[in-house]
Amino acid sequence: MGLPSIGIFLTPELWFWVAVYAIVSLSLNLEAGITGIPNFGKHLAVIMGAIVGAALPGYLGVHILPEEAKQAIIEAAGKGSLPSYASSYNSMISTYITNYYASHPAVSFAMFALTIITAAVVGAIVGLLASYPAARLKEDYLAITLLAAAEATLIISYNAPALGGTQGLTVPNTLTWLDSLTSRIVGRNMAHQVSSLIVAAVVAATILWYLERLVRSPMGRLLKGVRENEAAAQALGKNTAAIKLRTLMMGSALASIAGSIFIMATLGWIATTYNRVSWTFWAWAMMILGGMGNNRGVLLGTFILASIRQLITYYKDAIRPYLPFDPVWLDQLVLGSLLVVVLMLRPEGIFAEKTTYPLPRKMLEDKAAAR
Amino acid sequence: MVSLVYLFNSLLYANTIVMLSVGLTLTYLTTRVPNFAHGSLATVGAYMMFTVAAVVMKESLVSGNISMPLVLGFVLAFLGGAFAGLMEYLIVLRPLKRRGTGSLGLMISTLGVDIFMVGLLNIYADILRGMRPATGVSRDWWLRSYVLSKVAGIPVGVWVSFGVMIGCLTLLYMLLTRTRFGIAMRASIENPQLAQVLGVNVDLVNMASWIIAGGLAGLAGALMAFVVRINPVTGSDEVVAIFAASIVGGLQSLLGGVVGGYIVGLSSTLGTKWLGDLVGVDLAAYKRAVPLIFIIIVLLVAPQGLMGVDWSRLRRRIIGGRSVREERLTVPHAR
Amino acid sequence: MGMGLSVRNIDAGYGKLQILFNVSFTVPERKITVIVGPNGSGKSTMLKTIFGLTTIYKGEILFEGRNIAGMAPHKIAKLGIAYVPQTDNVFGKLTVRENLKMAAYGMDESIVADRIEEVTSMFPILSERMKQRADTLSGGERQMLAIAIALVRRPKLMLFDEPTAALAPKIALEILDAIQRLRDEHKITIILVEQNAKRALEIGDKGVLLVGGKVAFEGGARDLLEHPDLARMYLGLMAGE
Ligand SMILES: Nc1ncnc2c1ncn2[C@@H]1O[C@H](COP(=O)(O)OP(=O)(O)OP(=O)(O)O)[C@@H](O)[C@H]1O
Ligand SMILES: [Mg+2]
Repeated sequence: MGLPSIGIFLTPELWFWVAVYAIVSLSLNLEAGITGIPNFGKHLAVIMGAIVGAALPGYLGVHILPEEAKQAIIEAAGKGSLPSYASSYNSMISTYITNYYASHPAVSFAMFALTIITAAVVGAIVGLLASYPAARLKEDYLAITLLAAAEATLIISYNAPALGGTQGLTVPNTLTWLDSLTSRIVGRNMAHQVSSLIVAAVVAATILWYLERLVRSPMGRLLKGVRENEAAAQALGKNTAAIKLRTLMMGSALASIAGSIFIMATLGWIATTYNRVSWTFWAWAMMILGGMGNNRGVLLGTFILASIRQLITYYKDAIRPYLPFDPVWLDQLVLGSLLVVVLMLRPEGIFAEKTTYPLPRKMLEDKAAAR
Repeated sequence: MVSLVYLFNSLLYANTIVMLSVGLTLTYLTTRVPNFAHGSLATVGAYMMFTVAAVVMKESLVSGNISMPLVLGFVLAFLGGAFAGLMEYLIVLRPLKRRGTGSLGLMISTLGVDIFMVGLLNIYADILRGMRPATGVSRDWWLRSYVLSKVAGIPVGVWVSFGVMIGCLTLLYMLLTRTRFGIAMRASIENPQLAQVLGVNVDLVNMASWIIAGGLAGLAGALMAFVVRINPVTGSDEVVAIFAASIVGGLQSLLGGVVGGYIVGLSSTLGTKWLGDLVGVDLAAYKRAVPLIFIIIVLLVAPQGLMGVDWSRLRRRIIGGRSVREERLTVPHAR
Repeated sequence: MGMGLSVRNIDAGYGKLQILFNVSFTVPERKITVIVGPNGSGKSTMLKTIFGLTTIYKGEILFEGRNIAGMAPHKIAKLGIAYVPQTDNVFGKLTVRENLKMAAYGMDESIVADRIEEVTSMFPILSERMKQRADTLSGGERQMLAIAIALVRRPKLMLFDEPTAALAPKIALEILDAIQRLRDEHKITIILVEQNAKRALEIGDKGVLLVGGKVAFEGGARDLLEHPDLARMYLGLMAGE
């Protein structure tokens, strides 16, 4: 069995998963756990971020390639003109672009930053659109609407020629600026994994820090007020639609960043990776297990479930000979039963949310004090 | 032009969506749970049919002697779906309801059930593969080639599909209007507390609704194998379409489920084909996005579903007639 | 004590929210017991509690010597207790006939027609409306249907929650009249919650005053009506009025 199971905790791979999922589950916690918007279309923002991560460094990259690289591609393709990034020469083009980025760390960094920023903007737009039904529909209708929107986007992006259709895309590496540093420390083989981990971890840590501050601020109490009693918040003159809008824009921007980071790490795009189970339901399970509304709990839930998934992945080859079926399905049994069992035995999660002041009373007091 | 074969396929698909949407509406009405696992109940039925027709009785199937395998397959599909539905209610939903879980929690639990069922079906499909099914494979299988022979110019599969669908809906209609238990079901849907007070065991009614919905889903799954290649995730993937159909129908009445089922089922097949021909692009790959468009339009424009729209008022408003005040269509599902 | 009902030390409420606190009173057989009290004092909750529709934390409810606290409502219905809720007391989407059939749910098919005949003869207007959906009935007709469906099982004990609320005075009187006839002609024990305390206590035999989920008075209906303080404080009546 190679490494003992403790070994997976030493791999950058596990921690990368933890960090990327932490971004998604914390952003979900902002929307669903703290503000009470049941976003069952979380993977929509992740897909959009991944699309940005897959398209931008390639389409833009082709144009900034030096002339001789362009010529080389034209010759290899034998077409007389530069083939499209998403054409059948995709993987060759990506290699040229990656090489160019590798020799120009500043360009690579600029492309990296541009990708993250664009993903965030696109994600925010997704949140903006999602806020329209969120302001109008009740829980179950909203959930199915957001889920359906995400599924439709998945289907469309899976068939989009500009994204390589059902074949997907090989994506140029925008982390070469960081890879060159990490390779000096951990060696070439691990370099890209470690740089991906660093990026994801920095983003996740920033988000955790921000959300922890947010829940303790008056704004955080207002968000919880919207969750607990929207009518009361409205009665106190709060524009709850605007609050939901901002929350969804923020949450979707973050999830979209996670999607783009995931592409930067895996360097391949195929729409089916961004399915509802992997990016919405797992995130919900992480949040519920840890405790809705509690950021640190959600982080713990993310760690536990990401580890279980890695353990299954790690051991599946070892147990395959003993089972009459493929052990990958255990993943689904674990996720499915876990959602139900947590709801039955500990619906508040491992860490129940700490009760802060419920909004109406607190605000009534504030008002009284102001008078 | 739409070919006859394409028309038949569209009808077969729409029939399954109708049966699924009626069942989803039924459990939503009785237990107030939006069941995200409803599609997987259909997959259970499909694999029951597969077990009977393609594994246990594969000799008869291959020799073209399809009536026995199909009949037994439908029986088992009904039972399998009904059992799975009942278990979902008894093991997961009833305990959660009793401990006061809200609608969000119930919804999440049905997602959990769905994922779990897909896992079990995946395992089952792996096991079946080793049993040399008549189709050769246990994933991406269908029964289409076995039901193509024609009776009165129409493929057997189409006859069977309409027969099963109409038979089921007629029986359900008779149950709900002609029997005391059926009236009790309708009464419990409208006002469970009053029904209890009058001596109805509402829990029994709820169990019955999950059995019926699960059984209908099982049959729909078996029928789906006439027109769609079946995988362990096939039903789960259809769940958005099923919800779309039910939402178009308004989630208020079973008749709404039937109407919504045909609207969504036919427009995602015939509709995309027709539109594709019109603009000269093959849109078949995008047909699964059609239900979404319906969900969005209906929820944002007429949240009661098309059945809930006051058509005469709408007509007045569009055609003109006497000027109507700024009257929004009533919005019970919206806040 | 025989056949009536007796409520003993009941604590009950909705989930974790307790509404009734150590409530005890007895309901004499073939008499009208009137429960009165301010809005929100727990009158409806008391009736629901008898019928098993709330959470009971403690105490007993004895009916014919048997503790029915915690029994499922559909079983209580079969013991001969009927309950006419304050609101939503008929099935609007079913026809009048279907409503009456519903009320006979689980009874022997052979006697159902007779029973429906029997109750409609008490409220003749209903026999003209048999095929109509209940949500098309007038307020008074609807209340009559609600009482009729409660009567189909020939109950021994009936609980009425504000049966005259929102009815025209003349129709309200008719309903109260009908309730009196149930006691006198059909020998049914009755618990009546009424917002019009005066009129109800006048037809009642016994009075129970609930205040804040606790029993503030239990005794003769007349005694409560003429009580110098309670009647004025809680019922808005001048003593001897
Ligand atoms: N289903 C419920 N869930 C939670 N609380 C409830 C419920 N029904 C009633 N209550 C609460 O229980 C308390 C008592 O209500 P109840 O209806 O028993 O009063 P009542 O005496 O019948 O008043 P009224 O004269 O207005 O009918 C009220 O504070 C009410 O808000
Ligand atoms: Mg009341």
